[in-house]
Amino acid sequence: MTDLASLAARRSLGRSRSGAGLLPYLLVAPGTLIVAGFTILSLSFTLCASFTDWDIGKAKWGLIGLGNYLRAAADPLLISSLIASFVFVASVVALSIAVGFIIAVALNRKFRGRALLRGLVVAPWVISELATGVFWSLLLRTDGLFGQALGGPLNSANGAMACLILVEVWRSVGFVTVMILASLQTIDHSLFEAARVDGATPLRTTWSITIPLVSPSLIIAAILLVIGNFNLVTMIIALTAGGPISATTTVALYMYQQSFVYFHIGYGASIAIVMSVINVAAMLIFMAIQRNVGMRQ
Amino acid sequence: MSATATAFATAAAAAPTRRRGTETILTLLTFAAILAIFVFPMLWIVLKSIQPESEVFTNTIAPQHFTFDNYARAIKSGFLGQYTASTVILSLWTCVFVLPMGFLAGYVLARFRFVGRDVVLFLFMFSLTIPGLVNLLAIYQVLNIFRLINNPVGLIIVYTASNLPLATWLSRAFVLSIPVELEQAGLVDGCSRLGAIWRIVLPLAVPGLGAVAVFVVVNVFQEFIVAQTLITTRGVGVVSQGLRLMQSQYSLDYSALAAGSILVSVVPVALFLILQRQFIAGMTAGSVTG
Repeated sequence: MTDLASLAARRSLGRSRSGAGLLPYLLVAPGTLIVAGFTILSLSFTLCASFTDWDIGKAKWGLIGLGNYLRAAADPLLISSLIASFVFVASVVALSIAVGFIIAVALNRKFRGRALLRGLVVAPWVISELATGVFWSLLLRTDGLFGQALGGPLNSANGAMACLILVEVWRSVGFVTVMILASLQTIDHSLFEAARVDGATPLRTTWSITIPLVSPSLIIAAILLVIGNFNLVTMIIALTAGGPISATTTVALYMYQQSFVYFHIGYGASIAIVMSVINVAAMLIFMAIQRNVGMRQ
Repeated sequence: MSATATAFATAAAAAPTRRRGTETILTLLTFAAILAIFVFPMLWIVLKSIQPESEVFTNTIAPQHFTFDNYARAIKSGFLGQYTASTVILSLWTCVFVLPMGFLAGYVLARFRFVGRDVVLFLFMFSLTIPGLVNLLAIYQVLNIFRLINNPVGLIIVYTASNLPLATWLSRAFVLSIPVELEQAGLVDGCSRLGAIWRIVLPLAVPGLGAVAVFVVVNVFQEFIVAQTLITTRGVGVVSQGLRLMQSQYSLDYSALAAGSILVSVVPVALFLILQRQFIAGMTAGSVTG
């Protein structure tokens, strides 16, 4: 009797479709509706706005079809901001992954003070983006500690971009380290032992064992960094404000300026749509790579 | 041939000690590099924040002159007292909405199979990955229609929506870690489904929900761009706005800005130090698929 009842309970708890009735929908609805409302409605609203010439400076607005997109394709500032975004995102992701991987491997041994070191590497990720940008701007100013030594790097176009990249790498390395450490700790230690017995050098072991085994985590860290940095504005506002001139104005910052500084709402919306397409494309590409890596193993 | 063999044997015998030697050197190098890259810049800013204004650009250190005047100026010019109080209130209200909704959604996604489950999972996964910046334009205009610009209620709604995906994801993970047999026993004993959630799952999920609450608080303390866009009233919003206010003032107060950037980081860094393990679990949450 008890067995039967428990069997019935197990079925309704586990995987049955009809047994649970409306309950799961009722419980999942509030959160889902809010998240869906924000994601889907915002996207639809932005898409509709992108077909208009809505602008705070104009008395009335109307549909202009693809006008904003044609304007975007010919806008030299938008094109240069796309290039800036590409340089920024590619450099930040490549450097953060490389440095984060090295630190994770260095921390993946038992020694005293390991947890402390990990905490120190992660600390920049915990400090807010704005505070990080503000205090690095103090260090990199012409009269700041590093700024003095480097001859005012924030005043030149390339110097400002390099500073922005390095500060963002400084902030992101902890995140990569944590992701890779988590994955390193799942690797069976006997694999390394076997490689050593077979006479493999540490470099060879890293290349043939460590990197393939942590590559799923590397890919996830990379996708989150690509999307996060492509949409990053706070750090840029705090560190360089997009300058000098527009050297560090990425697409994200350009979109923000068009929408909230000049209130060219229709045009800003079309850039937001272009950004959304790039976001989703980045996600799909990485998901495809991830599937490939998973199949190879 | 035999010479080579002997040399090999000697090398093999020496290897363990040599390896220990290299390991110590490696450890020391790791320490030195991490301290130089990650700690030194922060330490320098801490030092600047307690030096008198007149000594800030001298690159000399005189501990007998250390002062907290810069902190007092930062709190005053950045309205940091009001902004901190405002951030605490915003983060608590966000928790009030996010925790129950995130917990229930996470519970359902962990325990039920139902039509549309994959769509819901995808929605949360998608929103967890794509940041809200591209939605900000639409959010601003819609809140404007409802007269919620410059109103903390608007900000709480946005923070609730942006924190729900992570809260749901983490809740799902810790509900999965609770043995399903406990609920079955409850159901057998005549407990309703909701009763089982309330009396059996919820008490076991309290530590996990605590971790989610900490994440929400830290997220709100780190947020800047949404608050800066939606709220212009001084002293209302998040702490970073106070720091930004100081940075945009006409004459830049170097040492006060150093003090301010430390003050606005106190809460997130303290929570991180106390709860490092939960924190790191949350950072890797985005990587758990399925």
